[in-house]
Amino acid sequence: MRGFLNIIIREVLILKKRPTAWILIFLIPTAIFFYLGYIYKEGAINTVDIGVLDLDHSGLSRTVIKSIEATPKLNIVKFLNSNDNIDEVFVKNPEIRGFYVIPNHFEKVIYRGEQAKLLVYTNSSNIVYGNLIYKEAASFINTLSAGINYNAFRSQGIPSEKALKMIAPIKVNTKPLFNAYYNYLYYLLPGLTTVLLQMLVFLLAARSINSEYSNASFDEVLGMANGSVFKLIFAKLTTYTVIGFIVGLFIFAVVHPLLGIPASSGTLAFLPVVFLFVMVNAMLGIMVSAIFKNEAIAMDVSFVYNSPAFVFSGFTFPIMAMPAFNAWYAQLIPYTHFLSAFIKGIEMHAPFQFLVKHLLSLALFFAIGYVVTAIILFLRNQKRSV
Amino acid sequence: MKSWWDIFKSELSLIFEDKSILLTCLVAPLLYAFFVGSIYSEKEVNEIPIAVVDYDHSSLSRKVASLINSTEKVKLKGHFSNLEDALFYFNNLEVQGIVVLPKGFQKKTMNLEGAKIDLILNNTKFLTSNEINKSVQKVVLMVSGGVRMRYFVSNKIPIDMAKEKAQPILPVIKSIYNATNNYGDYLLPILLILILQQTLIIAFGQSVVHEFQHGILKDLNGISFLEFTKILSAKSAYYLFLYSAYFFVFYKLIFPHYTLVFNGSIGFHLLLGFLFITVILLYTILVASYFRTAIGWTEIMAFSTYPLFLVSGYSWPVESMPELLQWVANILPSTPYFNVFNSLSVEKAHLPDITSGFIHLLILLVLAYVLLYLRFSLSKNLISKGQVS
Repeated sequence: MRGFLNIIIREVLILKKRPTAWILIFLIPTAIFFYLGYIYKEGAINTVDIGVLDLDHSGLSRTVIKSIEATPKLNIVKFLNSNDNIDEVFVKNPEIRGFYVIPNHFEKVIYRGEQAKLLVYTNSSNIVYGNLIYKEAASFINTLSAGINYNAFRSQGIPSEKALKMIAPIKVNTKPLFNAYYNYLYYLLPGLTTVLLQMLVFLLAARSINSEYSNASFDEVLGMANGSVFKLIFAKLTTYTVIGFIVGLFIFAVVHPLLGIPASSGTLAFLPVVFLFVMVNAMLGIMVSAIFKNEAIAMDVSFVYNSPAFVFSGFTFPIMAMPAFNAWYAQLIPYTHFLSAFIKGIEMHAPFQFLVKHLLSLALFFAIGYVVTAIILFLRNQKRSV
Repeated sequence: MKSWWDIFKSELSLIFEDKSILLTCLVAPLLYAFFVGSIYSEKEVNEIPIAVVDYDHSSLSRKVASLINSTEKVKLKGHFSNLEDALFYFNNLEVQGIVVLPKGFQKKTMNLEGAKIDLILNNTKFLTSNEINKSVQKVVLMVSGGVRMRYFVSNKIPIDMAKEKAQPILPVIKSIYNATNNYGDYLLPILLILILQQTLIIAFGQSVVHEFQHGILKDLNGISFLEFTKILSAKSAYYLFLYSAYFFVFYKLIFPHYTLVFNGSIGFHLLLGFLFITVILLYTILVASYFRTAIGWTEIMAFSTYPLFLVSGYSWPVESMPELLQWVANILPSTPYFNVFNSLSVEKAHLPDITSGFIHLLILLVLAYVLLYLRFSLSKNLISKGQVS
């Protein structure tokens, strides 16, 4: 036990002497996590600048423009004219993200009781704006259509209440659960902080074994473990797991609350999952460190493995839409499994039974990491003894 | 002092001796471009699984379910008679949304009494949630239009006119530059450029750290700023050439491989790429000069990808960020470069349309050079005062 504790203390002292370890443990959680949260401080895009091209110049078209102006999310900043080339509007006016076109004879067509078209162009090279304008435009035009229908029904003597039901015979009651206001901060930040937690623990641990070879101190540390590679692995694992778990606690207890991420009553119960996740990454980092004696190569491998974890996890682009190979590879990253457990456990408050398969996957990662590391160190140790 | 050519040759030797630099600048860009890029090769998300809970069991409720299923984006994974069963799949993330058709749905709809359907969305992921919402709303609007049309027809209005009266204003929404609003065409071009940026920063930074710790720049005493610039230009030349070549290969081979739009003159794109790479190299020298080990550099820079991308304004508008971060965004070369690249390549802009972005990059080039000069002078001052060995 004494040897075990001594290895842990020694490991912490080694980290203490490494400035980049300080940056990883202290600066990344305190600066980068808050920096990322600060980017999304607004939470949502409140207004979008748009243009209007009124080719009708009628009373109704002016009413339509006034209605657009009254839409909280849309801000008319440019009135286009018929000389503007529609294909070049977005290039010449980069400030506008979309524009409405009210065609010629718009009023006449509607008053004749015929169908008129209202055109909306969105600059969808950025789909965040593209989707937002699409949603606003669809809702706006349908409301406008409904208003015309309502007036027509009322003029036929249909009572107001009945007319209202006739203009919208079916209403959709949308319940966007777990992030009702489509807040980007709530959506993205937990994903970003936890993926960086994986990277942080992995990268720290990826220098834990090979640095002993670089510094010719492997015999010394193995001696402290009484020659037992298992004790050595366990001591190193404990060090990085505890450090990682403290950072994990910091994320859930300080970063998320300070940035206003809604607290979940299930957070405390979820901490053992965070602990397992951190332990898995510490183990895999140690495994990479054992496989690659060259610290720089181990770091490169860790970087290549970890840096795309976020995009592979299905957080922003679903795994089911990925080609088969990518979807398969996504399963080889612990973050993918942790993310599913996180979404179910913390965001959806799903019962524990729904988390089990993800926890088993994480446990499998741990077992592989442990067995591979133990075999490598055991064989290397035997070779040295011979 | 070594000649420019000798320094250049030494840099080549370093790259081939240092496996880490070699892997990062020669293997990683292409590996990532295919490995990570292929995630988005399908570009769109189709057939998102949802469940329908049908309490009505009517022909209309079945018709609505079938119409929802026939949309490209959504696929019915389950047809349930009670919400609890559907929630099991929802909680297990096997379905991303649930449509609940209440009892009396058909009767209320056809009698124009106002029917309601519930749409439960898993909004932990916006992309799928938005697509389900859009698909269901479209179907409901279509069915509602059909119901109104039926009313007009029953009032002896000819069917063609009834169809128009049912929907007096037809929304025609045209998504320019990305007709289907798909994620692949939106993200992939910039992701590929980001891969080049990050591998360049890491590989070149390792070399710079090496030079400051073990190479010619170990002792800045007796080195003038001109010589300092000469050394760094010789070191940078290989990366400038290599990454310009990468830009060419990406534009000519990888963009077409992923069927990505690429407009504008290749020559002008390469000129812009050259300017972008130069600014990145100067910034890298500046920051890497503070590091003591190349591994430490990689260790820390591994965390720079998300902060640099997310602040660039590509995924989240710079004007929606707090003022301080707007400043940060504007001193990073990726902010104007992504903007200019997007305008040229996707929006088919011409030179006069991107002048401000081009000038922005030139200003950053000058700024980076001035900062490097200050860094050099500061280091020399500290050395002369004996504060730094």
